[in-house]
Amino acid sequence: MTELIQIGSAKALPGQRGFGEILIAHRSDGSSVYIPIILIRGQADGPVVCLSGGIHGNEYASIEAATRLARELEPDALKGTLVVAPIVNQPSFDDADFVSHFDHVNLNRAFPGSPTGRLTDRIADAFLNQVVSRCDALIDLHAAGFSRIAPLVIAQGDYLDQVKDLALATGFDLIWLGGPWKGAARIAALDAGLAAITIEAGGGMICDPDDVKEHTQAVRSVLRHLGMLEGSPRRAHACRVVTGGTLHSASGGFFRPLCRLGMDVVEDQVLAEITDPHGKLLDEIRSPGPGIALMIREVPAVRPGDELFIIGEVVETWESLNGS
Amino acid sequence: MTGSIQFGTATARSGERSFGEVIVAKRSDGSTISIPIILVKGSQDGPVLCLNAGIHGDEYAGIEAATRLGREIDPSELAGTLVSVPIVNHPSFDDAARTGYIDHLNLNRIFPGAKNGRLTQQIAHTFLNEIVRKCDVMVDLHGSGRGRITNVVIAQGGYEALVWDLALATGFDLIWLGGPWGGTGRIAALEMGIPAITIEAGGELALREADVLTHLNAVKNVMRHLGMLDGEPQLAPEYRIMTGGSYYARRGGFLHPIAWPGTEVTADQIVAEITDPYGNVIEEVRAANDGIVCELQMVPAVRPGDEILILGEIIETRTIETVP
Repeated sequence: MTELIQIGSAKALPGQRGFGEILIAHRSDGSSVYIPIILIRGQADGPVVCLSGGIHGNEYASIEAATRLARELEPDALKGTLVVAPIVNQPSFDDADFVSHFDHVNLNRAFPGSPTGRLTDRIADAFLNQVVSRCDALIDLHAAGFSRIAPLVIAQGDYLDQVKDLALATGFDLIWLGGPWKGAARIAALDAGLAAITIEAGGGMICDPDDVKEHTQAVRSVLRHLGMLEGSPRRAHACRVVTGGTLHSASGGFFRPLCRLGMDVVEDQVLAEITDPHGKLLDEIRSPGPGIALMIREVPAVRPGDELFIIGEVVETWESLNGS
Repeated sequence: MTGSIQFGTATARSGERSFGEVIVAKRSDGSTISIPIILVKGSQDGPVLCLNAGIHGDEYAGIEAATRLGREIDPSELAGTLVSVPIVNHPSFDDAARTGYIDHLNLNRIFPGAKNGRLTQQIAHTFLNEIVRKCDVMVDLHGSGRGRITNVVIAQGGYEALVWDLALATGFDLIWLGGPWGGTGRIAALEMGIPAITIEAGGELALREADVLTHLNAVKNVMRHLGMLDGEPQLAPEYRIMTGGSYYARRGGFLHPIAWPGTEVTADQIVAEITDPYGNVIEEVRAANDGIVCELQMVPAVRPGDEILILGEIIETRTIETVP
């Protein structure tokens, strides 16, 4: 395969890096809304993998990790092609939010999207059909925004045959089977027949170098598993497999967590308190069951219905024969 | 002074603590927008101190410090009255933002406000006339929201005689004469002849215990200086006086902090970089002069014109013996 690979305006021959974009729409002032693309094409043939960040524009560790890998991975050291989309949802990045002011639609609930829909629907459609569907696998990087999330990989529950190996290759010891919601890019990619995982780490509206490292190490390990980089992937000796959804606040107020990220919790344990403007206790947040604190809100201001926690219930343990 | 003291609906006799509020307005559903008050009247006579926080609703360390001191201080160990106002600008707290969505006005630029103005002007007017005016001293707690600010006390230039001792009593080793803007709660209090300082510490849209303790220690130190608590304030043996103003980004992009808040820098030194979606550096934020990085944005998303840096210029270093 020596012919040119082109995705949007990004082009690369073997051994080249290419920068370009997928045009989505024009704003009223004529400036363009686009998905930036960086292609890294190895000298040797191999899989074509999409690495995405910034489907939610305020998940900075994911954006920084994708950008950094796109600049640091050398085409000479790579087999196959990496298609990096560091900020899929640029309008939401611009707003420092997980949705944009254009339509307030959550991009990771809007897939497969529509080429004639709202701006976020159009981003979903363009990303899926012009980027993801050209690839063999999708590694979708996320973090929390107003919360922090423990390093983990999402292997969507109904697609384990398609993704179990990929998920184990991240080296993480926490595997989440995904929330009950639909419309994620990962699910759209799985439905299109790709192997697709989501990597989660970090948050709190900042870009913490340790969180970035969690992402880059996991991605490099998956690329080794796929034979795109030299070396063996790291694997955890034992992985805890969890299900779980989001706990939302009944009250507005000042959020005071009482547990730490990644900590085991028991049923009915008080996970956090919410206080009123005088500091009086308004509400206690209790764990719906035994599990692991996968995500904890970081920003103290809470409104009724805001997300506070994800508590993962351990449903299985996967042992790895060649843990390293 | 053995009678009761009243602020809004909070009433306290000697040795009592009372919780109440000053009502500002009502929303369309009849719910109230109010300024919460924790009133603590000491067993002994002494000054009436207004300790307010949350003029910007996303500066959590100050809010927590004012709440905690209001709830925990022992009235029998207090001389005078503590009027703790933990969240002056509740609409902006609700929005986890510097300003509230109802009118997007910066409360700390529109003092003295207006009784019949927009909501934020009404908050300013109510706070100033129903709370601050009835106090002898004002300590105004702030921090950074989307950035981080080094520990600094503002002694407004032009009012040095009124506030210098108070500023030194915080124990901080950095005194800022204030930015070039007007309309702050501090300046409104000073114009009424009330000594007023602003204490700055913390940020990152998060609640860090170390920042809360910084605020609490500074406030308790000031209260010792005022004779409200037993003991002597701990003063910094040497302190720096700075002037300084804001730097606004020319380009939108991803901000990478390089010189952390509190770092002393030389003219032309790179304080932060802004990169485009491909990771190319598109703006180097350089120090305009020798000085100190006072405040730097920590949320990576930057739009053109965002205030990302306050650079301080050290105009003098003094030892505590040379206090005027």
